[in-house]
Amino acid sequence: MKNAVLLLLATALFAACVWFFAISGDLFAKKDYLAGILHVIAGLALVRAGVELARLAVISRQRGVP
Amino acid sequence: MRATLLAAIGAVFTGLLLVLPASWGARWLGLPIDGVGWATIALPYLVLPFAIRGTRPWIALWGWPASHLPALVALRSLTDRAVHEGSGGLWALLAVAATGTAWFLVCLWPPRRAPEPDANDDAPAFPVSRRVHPLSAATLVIVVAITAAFHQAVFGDRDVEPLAANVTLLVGAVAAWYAGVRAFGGKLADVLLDPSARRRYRASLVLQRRPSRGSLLLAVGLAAVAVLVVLAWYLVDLR
Repeated sequence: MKNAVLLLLATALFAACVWFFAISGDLFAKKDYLAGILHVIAGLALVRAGVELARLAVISRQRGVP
Repeated sequence: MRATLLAAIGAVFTGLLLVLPASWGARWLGLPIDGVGWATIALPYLVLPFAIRGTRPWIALWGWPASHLPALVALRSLTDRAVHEGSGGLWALLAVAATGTAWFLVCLWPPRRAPEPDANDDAPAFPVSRRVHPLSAATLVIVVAITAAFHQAVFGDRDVEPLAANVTLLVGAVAAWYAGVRAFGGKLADVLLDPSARRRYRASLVLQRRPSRGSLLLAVGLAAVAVLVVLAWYLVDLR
């Protein structure tokens, strides 16, 4: 159960990061580079957070396996 | 782990070599690309799952790279001087060369910990999966999604200057590389596929459960500041 919740949250974070990247692309295309960079940083942070949650899901799923 | 890395690198490489020049040329240079042309551009993405399975090395080392040739031959304008001129074209070519080098390095890199082969058994030294690993498929999906997110911003129905488009696509390639290669192909694949990395990660988690008071306050403070900045950005409209 915990594993499924963590995977769901990780998937949500990955979807959110794609949304942030889409927003940053729009901002870069409008030559608003500062806002674009800030959104890219937020997107990369979401990727990192999603991967951490996915790693925790792997650990919780394989509890007892070395 | 190797298959995950190959999925990410392959998706980025085809995007840089075929998809982006074709979109660029169709948008700003008026290059005519029909349905057959787009089908040849999509061909490497169809061959990629067979290459990353690893059952036949010749597909990864020859078949997948050669699958780019039909598009390059059918659409000779993709390698035209007009598409790759200037500093933007130079950076694009360097990115293509670097990604292609990374593909072959990962393909030819020896397995990190292959088990000892049994003298009485003719089985391969390490297990070869017949199916594409779900992690490799997820990596392919996230790389294509991130590339598409930046792609639609540039090639949507709006007027975008070529310089801004170059910057957008470059940032998109870096973001796709980070997410696919560094995050999925590195950190996640390590924990999912390598038992020793899993043990190390579990040990680091045990240590992190006892944070010092200073690091806890610092983390809470940084999170609060970040939330306030985001709220100010969207609600007060600092722009």
